Amino acid sequence: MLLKNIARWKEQFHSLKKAQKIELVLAAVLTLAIIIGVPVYAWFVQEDRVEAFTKIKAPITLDIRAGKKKDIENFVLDGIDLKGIMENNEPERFVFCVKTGKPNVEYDIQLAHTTNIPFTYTLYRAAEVTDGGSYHVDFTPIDYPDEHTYYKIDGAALNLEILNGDQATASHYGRKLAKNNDGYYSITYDSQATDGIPEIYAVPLYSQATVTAIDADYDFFILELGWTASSKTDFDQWNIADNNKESDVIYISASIHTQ
Amino acid sequence: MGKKEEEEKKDRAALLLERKKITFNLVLLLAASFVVLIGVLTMAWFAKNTMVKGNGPGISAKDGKGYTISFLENSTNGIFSDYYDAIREETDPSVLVMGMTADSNLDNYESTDEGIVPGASGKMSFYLTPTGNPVDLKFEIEIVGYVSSVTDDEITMTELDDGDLKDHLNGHVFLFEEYDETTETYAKPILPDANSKRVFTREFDSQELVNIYWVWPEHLSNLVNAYNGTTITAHTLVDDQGDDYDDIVENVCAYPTYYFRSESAGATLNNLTETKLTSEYVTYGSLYDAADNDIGTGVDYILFRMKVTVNEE
Repeated sequence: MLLKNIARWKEQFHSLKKAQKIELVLAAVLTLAIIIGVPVYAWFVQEDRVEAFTKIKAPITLDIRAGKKKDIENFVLDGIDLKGIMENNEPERFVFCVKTGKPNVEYDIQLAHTTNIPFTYTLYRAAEVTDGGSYHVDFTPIDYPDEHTYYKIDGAALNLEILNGDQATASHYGRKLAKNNDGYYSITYDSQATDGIPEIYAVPLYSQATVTAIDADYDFFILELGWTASSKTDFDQWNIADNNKESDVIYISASIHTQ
Repeated sequence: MGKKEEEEKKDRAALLLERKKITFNLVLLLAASFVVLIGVLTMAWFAKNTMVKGNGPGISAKDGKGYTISFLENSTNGIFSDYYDAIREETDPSVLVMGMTADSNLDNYESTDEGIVPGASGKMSFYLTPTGNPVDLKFEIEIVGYVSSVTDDEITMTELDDGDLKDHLNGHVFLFEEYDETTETYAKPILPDANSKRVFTREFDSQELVNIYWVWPEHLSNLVNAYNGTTITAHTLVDDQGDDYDDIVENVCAYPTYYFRSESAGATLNNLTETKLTSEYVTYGSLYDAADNDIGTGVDYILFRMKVTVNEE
């Protein structure tokens, strides 16, 4: 019976036109490909995949570097020529940079400094000078004093808002000191401390500017330390006093702006 | 028109009809084949879909390969699943989601968890159960970074295309097979290879709780002993006298872009040695920290992806 059927199928196949034969063979091959292909494919994907998912918490403080994106140890504030500032009316300037990692992100640059010396603190955006034009800062890394990178002030001074300033008085050489009775003070110092309260010049004055990242890379800034001569800020009087060898501590930090 | 021409015309028409028939039949056959193919694959997908959504003990994956994977009792998918769901279709909907518990997580279990940061550490655990004979398995892990954005409550996740950041994820989220709580020392680091894959193999005779310990080393000195008697303390994650330590240092030197920011570093990343890393620690420690910062500001989420197969080697 089977043989008969096979013979009949053969006969039928031979009676087909060439195109129909091709058609039939193609159909058979395709079907076979599916039958073989699917289990083989399934065999190849015999594996387990396990996944876990979490967030990367953004850093509280942003990366701050010196000029030329060098490590912050190259941000050196020593050797400030006070007399030069006064006589030449040329403030001292230092370059640093901040990276947010994303463009158009708002962030705060905070300056915290003690107030021993009546400096004025001003912050500007900086731009690298590559064409030999005039510049405000000649940056050289500590280990490579011959590598010069030049920066100029780019735009108006940033709005550096003082957060805990007291009234400026003549007796303090016209400088603003930190308040000793506000919230910043009370969360920093223990008013009940038995070993005394800090000297007012050692209480840091906080000031802050909010800026927007230009791109994902570093934004450059120039910190300007000046001295405004006036009847309240008599430099000569300050300079001849015993306190002409004072020093200040300056912190710069940057963090993503929060409302 | 002559008789001959008429016959020729008829023949041409008949031939055309025949061709049309053949073409139609072929299209029909192809369509039928596709239907079968799609049908079978869809069925296979449904059969394969073992996504673990619910909670509960002994959540089991799939069988047929000589083992099952299951997760801890009362585990969950973690608190960032809204964001995870946004990429699940792209990755593979059939994957198992690692169960998270209070003791086994990626800082993604409780609502107070805010994700991982430098200095963070923990472990992820799961059960591996042979269903018959002992099995020898290969675990292949990769960590993929994503940047997220939310517009009108619509979450968009974009896989990292920044080569540096992708590289840094290899060298800043460390994985270990073992951890000694008494000495607070890790062992058997699962180190990234040239293809950013981390592979380990293990044989299982019976059910075993597999722990994968993860650490985001806070400082380069957690990896390389740069103790100098004064400013840098010795606090490497592994015993600095053992092979694990040598393997880690070798990995740092072999794949410096996994560990250090390459920007403006130039030739400093060439021909690294342990001596160079320790004697110029200020430079390399700073570049390591800079890479940490770049991850923190440039990557929003990470996907830990582990492929488990029978070890053929």
